[in-house]
Amino acid sequence: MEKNDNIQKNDKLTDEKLEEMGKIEFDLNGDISDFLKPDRVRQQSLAGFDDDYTDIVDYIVRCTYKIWDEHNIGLIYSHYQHRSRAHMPDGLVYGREKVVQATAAAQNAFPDFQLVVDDVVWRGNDVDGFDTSMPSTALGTNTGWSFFGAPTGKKICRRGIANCFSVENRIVEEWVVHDDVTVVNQLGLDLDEVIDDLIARGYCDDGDKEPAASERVHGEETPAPLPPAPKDEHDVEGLIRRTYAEVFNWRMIGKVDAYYDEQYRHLGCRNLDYFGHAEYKKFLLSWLSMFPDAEIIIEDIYWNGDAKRGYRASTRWKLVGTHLGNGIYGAPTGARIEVMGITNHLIRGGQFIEALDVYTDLEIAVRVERARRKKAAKLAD
Amino acid sequence: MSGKREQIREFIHSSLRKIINEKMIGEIYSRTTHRIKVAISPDQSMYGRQSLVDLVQQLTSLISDAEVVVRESAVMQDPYDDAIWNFGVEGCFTGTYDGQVKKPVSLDFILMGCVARGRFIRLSLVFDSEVLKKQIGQEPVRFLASVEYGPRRDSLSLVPQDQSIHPNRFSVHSRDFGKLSVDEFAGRILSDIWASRSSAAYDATSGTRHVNAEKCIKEHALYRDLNSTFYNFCYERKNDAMHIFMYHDRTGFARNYKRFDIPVSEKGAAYFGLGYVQLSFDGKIIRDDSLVNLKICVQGDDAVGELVSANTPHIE
Repeated sequence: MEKNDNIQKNDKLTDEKLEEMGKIEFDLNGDISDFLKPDRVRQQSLAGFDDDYTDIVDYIVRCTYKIWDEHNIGLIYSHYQHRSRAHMPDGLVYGREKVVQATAAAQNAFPDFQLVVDDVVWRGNDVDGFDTSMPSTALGTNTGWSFFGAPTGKKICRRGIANCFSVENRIVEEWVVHDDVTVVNQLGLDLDEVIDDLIARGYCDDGDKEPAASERVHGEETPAPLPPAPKDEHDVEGLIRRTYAEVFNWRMIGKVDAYYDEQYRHLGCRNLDYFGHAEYKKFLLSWLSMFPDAEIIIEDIYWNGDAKRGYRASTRWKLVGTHLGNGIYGAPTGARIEVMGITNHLIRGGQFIEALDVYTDLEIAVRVERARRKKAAKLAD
Repeated sequence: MSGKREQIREFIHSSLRKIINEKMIGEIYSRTTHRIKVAISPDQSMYGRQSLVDLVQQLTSLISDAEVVVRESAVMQDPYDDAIWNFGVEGCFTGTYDGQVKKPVSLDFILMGCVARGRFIRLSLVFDSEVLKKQIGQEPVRFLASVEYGPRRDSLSLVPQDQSIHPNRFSVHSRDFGKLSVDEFAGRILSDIWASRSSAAYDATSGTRHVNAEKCIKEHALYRDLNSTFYNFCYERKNDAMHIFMYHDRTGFARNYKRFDIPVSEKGAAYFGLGYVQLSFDGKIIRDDSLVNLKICVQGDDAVGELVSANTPHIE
């Protein structure tokens, strides 16, 4: 295995320590029983972390398991900072107490809830803190009252990604995206009725915040200059930055052929998968049709892996655009939308092979519908 | 290497024997990873081993004397990850369907999957549901009807591929085939038949040409702009022939074709199939037992198309 060159360097980290940390990888083929074996020894320097954690991957997998699968919700008090900031699909949740409350409510709705960790991509060290990206699949049976209402008895299987920044055993900041439209569908609920209800409850109400202009194109100029082309097949960050800038922000959709494997699989929201160049191009065009001035802004990138098996990268992004075209969110409303998203790619041979792409889909639908009603109310006045 | 290959083969065979034939369903817990992905054509996909346990329990309650016989198998180490072994199995499932009336069942199937560190991590299964329907005289019970456990395809996202560019690019598609001495085979089957619609490519086959050509033409007749992408391969050179298993994904637009009495639809369809091919060392197809199930529901539509999952006769 090649050394992970994605680790933040620090004066206190010796070369040996860096070498050791480069070997900490989530085993994509491992079983949960491998993590739950007793008497596992520490593999990585984790100052301030609970003694039973062996490395940062183990910390993320097992604290998730303890809190969700084993219902030890109170562990949130020792695993989240008191003033933790969780960027949830509907906005910022400040403080761990709200995390405790939301977790209890979710487990009440799905008492057999399992949050299965599908991967952990990480960066950092125990001096500066660790970033982790955790794609997961949530399984459960809705036998209790949920965020969406009365129990339905239906089962769910929902994809999501949680990116965390942790220091000394505590999550300090977190970004969470779920495929919640799929949950609505799997519960057998009517999406329009759910959106009605959420609007009535004030969900995702941004108040009277006035939208800013898009800065994808400065004045009468072109979009921002392209970042340099990736240096080689190991240049993960170069590939991601160049692709997002060129394919999306510069609208060079045809470049999908160059940057994406012909057998590319895009696992998207609403439990929909897109296979190959043609389907992925169509997916991109559907977004540009709905949000013609859309710009993607990359907020963070980190990765693990090696050239042979492939690099697993996590990209947190924000999409800003104006709802000016028809599409899955209905007729255009002119609403200014900010979308939070996380995409975890598998990259091999300098091309994207597969991606899990999760964003605040339900929240866009709610915000667009609210804008539509506000507009209608204004016209009625 | 061959020792490890035979260990994996024995693991696969013994798993089928223990879990299905001997009804030791609990073996699933120790022989699969907790987040196993299972795809079953025509219309089910699942995530997680508990879902698989549920499925097998329901299956064995309906067919309590179920037995699996493996006819052929191929095992190959993954080209990208030494810890993963890809495999394909072709065989027959027999038993007695214990519905209102007991009916004997005999179903051919193809199973492909991956094993890593002593556990199955992915499985894909295709059987001919129309054959099952005929044998039991009714629609088979849809297992796990309460939820679609896995992802779906978006018919709206389906777009015709540019067929003009495909023939020359299939050499890239068939990246794993590049290691075979059967490059030409892959090129001809994939390009000539699926992209260029040339059933004449089967001239190179021995004996099965007409059956295969008919199957191919029928599928093209059902789906406009049919595109086939081969995602995964598994092959093994044995003394008698090259044994090749293929996972392929197909997309196309269903169209009316009076001969088959199919409702007008023009809806997009997406489906996967598994292929099993025996290839002689001089490049001729000895057997082609591909199972492609065209009767796919897309976005809640009624079934479009019909099943042409023809198991070709074994003409040699």
